[in-house]
Amino acid sequence: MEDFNQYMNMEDFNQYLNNDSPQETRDAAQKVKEGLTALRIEEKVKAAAAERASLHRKSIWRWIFTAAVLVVMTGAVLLFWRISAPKTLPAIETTPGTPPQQEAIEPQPLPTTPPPQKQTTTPPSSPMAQAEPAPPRYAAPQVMLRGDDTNTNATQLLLNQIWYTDYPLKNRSAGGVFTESDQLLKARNFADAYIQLQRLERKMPQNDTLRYLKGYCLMELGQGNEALPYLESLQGHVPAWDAQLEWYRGLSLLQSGKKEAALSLFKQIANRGQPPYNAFGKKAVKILK
Amino acid sequence: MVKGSWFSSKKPAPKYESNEQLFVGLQKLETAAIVLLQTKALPTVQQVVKGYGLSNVEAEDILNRSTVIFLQKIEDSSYLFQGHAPSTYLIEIAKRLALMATRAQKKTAEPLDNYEHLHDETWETEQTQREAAEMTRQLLTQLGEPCQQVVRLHHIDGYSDEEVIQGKMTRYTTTDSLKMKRSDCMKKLIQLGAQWRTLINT
Repeated sequence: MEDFNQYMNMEDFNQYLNNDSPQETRDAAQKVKEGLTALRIEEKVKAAAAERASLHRKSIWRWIFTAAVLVVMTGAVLLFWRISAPKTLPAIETTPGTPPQQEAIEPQPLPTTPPPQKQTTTPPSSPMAQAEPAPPRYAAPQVMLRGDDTNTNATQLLLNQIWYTDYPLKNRSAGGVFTESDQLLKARNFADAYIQLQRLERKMPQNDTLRYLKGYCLMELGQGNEALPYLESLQGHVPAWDAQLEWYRGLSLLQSGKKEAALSLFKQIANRGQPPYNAFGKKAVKILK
Repeated sequence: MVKGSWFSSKKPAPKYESNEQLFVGLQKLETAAIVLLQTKALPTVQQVVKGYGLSNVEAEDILNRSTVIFLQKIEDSSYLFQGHAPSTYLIEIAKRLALMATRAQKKTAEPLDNYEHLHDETWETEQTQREAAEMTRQLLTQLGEPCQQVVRLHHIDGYSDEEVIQGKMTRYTTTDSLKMKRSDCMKKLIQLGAQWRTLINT
């Protein structure tokens, strides 16, 4: 569009007037010129108002879009954080006994593990095969080393990082005298299970299954020192138990403050142990060193 | 990138970086210049209008009316550029209009004398502008088609003859035929204007 003013001077308007046009016509021409200018200004202001409204709408849409992007991003971050939080947060602060690396270890089924159907019919007094390992879900129990708070705390930290246990009778149905203690242990009610196992021990102190369950129960109660005699007495009795027993002995040694002995055992497990305990052993060695 | 432009509709047009450039743009009735002027004045106008107890819708109306008055003053040279920001003067007009609107709604007792220096000019300019626009609007209606369109395209919308021909906005295919037609139409319009004046005066 060209400059409006060049069309709106009186010279331009004079071309519409004759030389002998009366003053009345000239005044009318002036009035028409003013009117056209007024209309043009009105139109321009309307156009500007529409333009501003359009800019305002665009601005609002930009805000909405930006807010939506931020909401989506925040949601994605929160989702990511929620999914990854258990793996990334330090075990000692959130889920003691469940170190992040430990979760990453994929436990392998033991070659000696019998099929599940066979396991369910196996009586508890029969040799217990290594239960199928699953990612640990439980924290290391609280340990208490006499007269040494610093050492207790350090031991607890170590245990939190390497703790992995699995119920020896996992995926099995113990019957007979072990029914009640079996249920209590599966429910992780170790205090009541211990009482029950104490009663059974009076009746059958040399029973392997009982000794294994009691050792395991004591270990889960944080009584590594008391668990050790039970676990050690069984080592080598039943080959299928040995891998798990060795690992539990290592944990119990660590619970009782015998770090060097535990390290030595973990080294053995790491070098010649069965999966998944060899992997746990390697990790334990790495942490304890 | 201009700082804050993503969230703000107040993106300054680089063409009007100085007050003088803006004034020249307003003289030429450039839409971008008017948008910039109004955008600069709007926050203060809204504040003033709110202070008088009027709504945001009324603020928008007052801003547009003030702009028409201001542009009319530039057109008839009653506003001369002296280096000041054009938006300052626009705000003063808007204040005056807001006060008048408030008094019409009896929402304030502030005396109009406070704005006496603006009163006559503002009122008269708006009335004159409105009367002239209304008269011409009616004359154009009386003129009928195609004259109304031919006159409007050139004298109101500001299209050049070449743009009208190239854009096929009328039935005329050459600039000469278009100019000839517009000349006839303008003569008729002036005659109608003379008759209107006679009618008003009698």
